[in-house]
Order: sequence, then structure tokens, then C-alpha cells
Amino acid sequence: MRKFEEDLSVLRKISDIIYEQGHRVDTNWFEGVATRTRHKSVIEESLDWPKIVQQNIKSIQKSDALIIEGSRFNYSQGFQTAVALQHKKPILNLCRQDAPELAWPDKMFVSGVAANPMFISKFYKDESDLEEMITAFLDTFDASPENITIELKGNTQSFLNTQSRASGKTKSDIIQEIITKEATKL
Amino acid sequence: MIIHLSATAGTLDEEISYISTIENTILTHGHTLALDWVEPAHARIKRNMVRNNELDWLTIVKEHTQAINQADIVVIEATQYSFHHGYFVALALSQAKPILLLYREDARRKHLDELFVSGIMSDLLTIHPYTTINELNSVVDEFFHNKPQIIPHPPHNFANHH
Repeated sequence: MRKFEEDLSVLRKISDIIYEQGHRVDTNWFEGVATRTRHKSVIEESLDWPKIVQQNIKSIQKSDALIIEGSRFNYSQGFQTAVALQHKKPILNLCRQDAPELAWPDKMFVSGVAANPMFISKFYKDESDLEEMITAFLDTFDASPENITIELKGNTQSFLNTQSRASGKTKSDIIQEIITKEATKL
Repeated sequence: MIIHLSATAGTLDEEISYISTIENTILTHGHTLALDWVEPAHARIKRNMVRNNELDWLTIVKEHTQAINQADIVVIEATQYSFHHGYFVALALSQAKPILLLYREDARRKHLDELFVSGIMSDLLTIHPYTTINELNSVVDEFFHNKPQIIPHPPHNFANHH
């Protein structure tokens, strides 16, 4: 949020792309900050920071994915990144190509976090690059249900029938649980 | 105990006296460092041996992450309030590791990230400002003198935080 006025148009553009793709932004915090900054109505020190941090964490937990405009490489974004990864949420970290050289340690650090397949770091030249990057990210991690057909044979069929009878769960739910368990090991 | 010390590599040359003070105080208390990175990194910067963008950052992040996994306590010099400081605080809290977060207080308007840190409500997080090396030494000395209790905590998933 450093130099917020400079970043506001990018944040609005990112939000517009998210809505255009049929998704929604869980917490539209930046319009509140914009109003507060414009009216100079509240000084930052007087805000309820424990509440703000808690809302941040809850919002990450509720969301399917986290998109960060990370050109300033600040503390809160690092904190949110680690919280999101802990909750297995995919992250798109967007950074302007012309981010100041002063930011190099974190620019490099972020490239190291990218070893985690749930963390995607992209550098954009200007706002026109954002749509393609965000759309590709959302398409990759879109949680919309997908129907597939599985042919069950021999042991697999017998295993699922037994599990389904014993647990009262549908075969679909059992398969989903097994895959989720494997996916969270990644 | 095993301690992981984190600081900002980008300003290491300017901050080395502060970072060394923290490191020496930790060692004086008989603790060991999970990762001995400060001196090699400082030597590299002084001799201009390798450009920073030529370093293997995947390995660096992995080593620091493993150091946190291995450590009993994490100490962070966070005056620069960088991305990786926030990342390591959340990572250490998720593993229920006590954290001592230190930053130099100056006359500037409060940094927004400083305000964000003040909102992280956890008994595991001790935040301490300092102004001089002597004061820094006292703060770290007192922290380790009082030996934070290493009690097995369940993993901190932030859900019941606050």
C-alpha cells in the first residue's frame, strides 16, 4: 500500500478483470482506502490493526485464490503469501517490470518462493499485460466442478463398494477425498 | 537451542553492526544458529564476488525455510519490513515457533507495515523497537535471558487467531 495512489488504477484493473472472468473479489479494501486517503478522514495509526489483520487472514481462508500486486514487495504481502500457501491457496504475484532496483532482495526472494507450484510470479510491463496473466491463472486454478467418467474394474470396484457401504458416502465423494489427500501432499 | 536469524540481505553492508550484535548475543547465550549465512553473505557483498541476481535463490529460500523448520526460535531484524520478513513470520507462526521481531525506531511517520505487524496478535510474537546497538544488545540479551518457553503448540493455522 506504499504509494497507494500510484497503484490504485492497477488494482482497479485487476479487480475488473476478475469480475469480467466471472469471479469476484472477496474484500474490496482498496476503494475504502482510496476514499479514506482522498478525504484524509482517518489517520492510519488510529485504525484497528488486529481487526484488519484478522480480516485479511479470514479473507484468504474464504477465497479460492490470492492475487497480489506485489511491485512494492512489502511485509504484509509476504505474510499473506505464507498464510495462503499454508491453506493451499494458489497465488498470483504480479510485479511491474520496472520495479525499483532497491527491491532486488525481495524480487529475488520471490523468484525462490516460485519453486512452490501454488505460487506463480509474473512481471508485467503495463496494464495491458494483466488480462492475459490473470485469465491464465484463473483458468488454471478455477475450482468449477468438472465431470469425468471412470470405468471401475476388479479390486477398485469392490474397494469403492465396501467403502461406500461402510461410510455412507457416495463413491464420488470417496474418490474426491482420496485425490484431495494426494493433492495436498504436493 | 537452535535459533534462526533473518535480516535484509540487500542492506547487509549498512546493517552489519546491528546484525552481528544480534548474532553474537545469541551465541553468547550458548545457542547455535540454524543457518550461518550472515558472514558469507557479507563477505560476498564486500568483495562484490557474485551479482545478486546470479545467486541460486531457489536454494536460498529453501535453506532459510529449512532453517525455520529446524529452529526452536526465530529472530528477525525487520527494520526494512520486507516481503521475506512477513513470509518468515507467518511461516514460523504456522509452526508455533516463538519469534523476536526487532526494528529500529526513528522519527519517521509510522511505517504501514509496522502497523500491520502490530495487528498480528500472537503470544508467540515479541516485537521490540530499538535505537542503538547497546539497546539492541540489551533487548536480545533480555529475551534470551528470560528463555522463551518452548512448549509444543499445535500448528498455527491462523483460523482461531485473535
